[in-house]
Amino acid sequence: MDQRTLVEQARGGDREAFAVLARAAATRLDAAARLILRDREQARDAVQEALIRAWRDLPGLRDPDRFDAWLYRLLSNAAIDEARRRRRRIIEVDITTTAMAVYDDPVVTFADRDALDRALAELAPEHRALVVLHYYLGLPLPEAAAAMGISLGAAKSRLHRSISALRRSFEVGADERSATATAGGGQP
Amino acid sequence: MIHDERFDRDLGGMLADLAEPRFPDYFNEALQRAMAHRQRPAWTFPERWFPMGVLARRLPLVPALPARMVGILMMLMLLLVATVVIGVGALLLQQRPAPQFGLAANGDFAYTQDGDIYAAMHDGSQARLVIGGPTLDVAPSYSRDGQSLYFIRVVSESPDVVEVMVANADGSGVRALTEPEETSGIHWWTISPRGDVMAMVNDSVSPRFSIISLDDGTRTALDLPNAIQVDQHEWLPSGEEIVLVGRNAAGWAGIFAVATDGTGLRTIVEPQARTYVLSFSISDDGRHLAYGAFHDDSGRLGVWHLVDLATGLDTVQLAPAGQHQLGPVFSSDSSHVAFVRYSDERDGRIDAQVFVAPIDDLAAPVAVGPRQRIPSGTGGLYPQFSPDAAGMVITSDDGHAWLADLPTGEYDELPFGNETGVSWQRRAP
Repeated sequence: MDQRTLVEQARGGDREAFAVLARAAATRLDAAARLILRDREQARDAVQEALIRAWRDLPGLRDPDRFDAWLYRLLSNAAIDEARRRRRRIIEVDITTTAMAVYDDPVVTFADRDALDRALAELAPEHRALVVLHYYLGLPLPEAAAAMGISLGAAKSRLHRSISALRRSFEVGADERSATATAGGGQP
Repeated sequence: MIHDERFDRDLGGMLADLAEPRFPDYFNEALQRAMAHRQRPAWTFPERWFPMGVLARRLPLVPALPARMVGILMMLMLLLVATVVIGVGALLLQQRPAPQFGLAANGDFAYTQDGDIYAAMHDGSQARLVIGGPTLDVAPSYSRDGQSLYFIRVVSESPDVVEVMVANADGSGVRALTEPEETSGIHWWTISPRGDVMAMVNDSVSPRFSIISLDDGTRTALDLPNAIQVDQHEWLPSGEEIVLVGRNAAGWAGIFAVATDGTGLRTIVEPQARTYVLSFSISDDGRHLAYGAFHDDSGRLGVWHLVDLATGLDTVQLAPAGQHQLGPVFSSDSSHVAFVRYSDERDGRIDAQVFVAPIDDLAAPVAVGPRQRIPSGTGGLYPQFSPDAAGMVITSDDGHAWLADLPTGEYDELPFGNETGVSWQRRAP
């Protein structure tokens, strides 16, 4: 059954159809939420909230072919809300670093991942959300801007600053790794 | 140094590696929690289930006071008498029920604010609390005769449990029409034109579609033939049949009518594959039905259809190239239809504009109210004709409401929001 039919059925209250749609998106929703929030429990809460909003508001989805983009919008909004709640409560949370995978790409190294992780951590949640919507979830920038409720110009500016910051962190990390490798290379 | 282009190109993959995408172990629990909530229910689409009408007269003017006075005392006495007469007259006028269908005079607006229900004059002035207190009350909707005010009382938000309530139009005499357990999982509900029966689609019970007597609470489940699953529904003016959007076993959506005892199912619009039926509306004279739909064979453009209920003739109303037009609603005299045209889709946003056209000349609709730029794919504008046909209230998903004067095309934003829809009271002409 195609996604459009599933969306129509879910919109009419069909729980099984909604479960199929949600299951298909769950992995990306969870990963995106963890990237934005950098906290497993908060990511879980954000995905939970996004699923609630999706089920509750599905009858308001005018164009069924935009289900994925709409769902990603709900997730980014839920994640940003979650991040703001955290800021309001002024709770020091234990940032659980995402589990490291065995990384066998010779170009993008384990250290690069660590650098990316740290660089992402320095971005504001709203900036991380835009990066994740565009680069990870693949939303075109105009749609990512609409999802964030900001103008395309603001999105371009925000994304440019975010990517520049990430790139700088990478370069610093690369320099440090290079220096470490050089020093280490002199040891017996 | 990492090259800029390569960094941009690799970033998506690096993010994926960083996140380690995997199926979340909490998914089933999260899904169950999500679906314990009620789906966005009828009251967020008030125009669908409480269509109001167009055309006609303004509210009667207050009679002028006597012009001649004999003396100060006589003048005061006459003023006193006149005041009493006018007051009683106005009260009697208000107490006369409006006709259930067709033209009526404009009454108050009812709307929700912070969990309470307010009413205001039809120009937006003189707002006053109608249903207050600690309870969470939303989605006000006047009965067709303008005498009663239906609303939803939220008993619990997690899981969603509500009661359907009714009060006199002035807010007195509040009482529950349903038990909370009846409406856990409520998806769509409508009250019959005579106000004696409620039709309800409830996801928590099987069959989902039932009729509830408002006199004694008797529930009659309607298990429709051919495994038709009911979505939204509305009553025909006769009150003898309910029109519904239903999906057959293949998941194809069509529009049907069924008697209130569940018999006599007949097809109005044949179920079609790859068609996504949105809202529908029935004219007050019972002659026409209009519905909005997406069809894959129309290039994914939203269109609305006008159906002659006597002949079954279904006429598609196409928008100009590249535009959608959806959400048709009829005027109370059944002479006009309003719909929303969506155009200029780019950068994830789209323009929404309400148009009005006579039923017998749909080719040249006239724009009414504000043009709003909204996110693509969701939400929109919702027009609702005034009972007297001279005006229109337009609400938006982001909580705004505008009042438009149809003869002049002028409009103003109303001083109250649109949290859960705005209902326009019908009054006796």
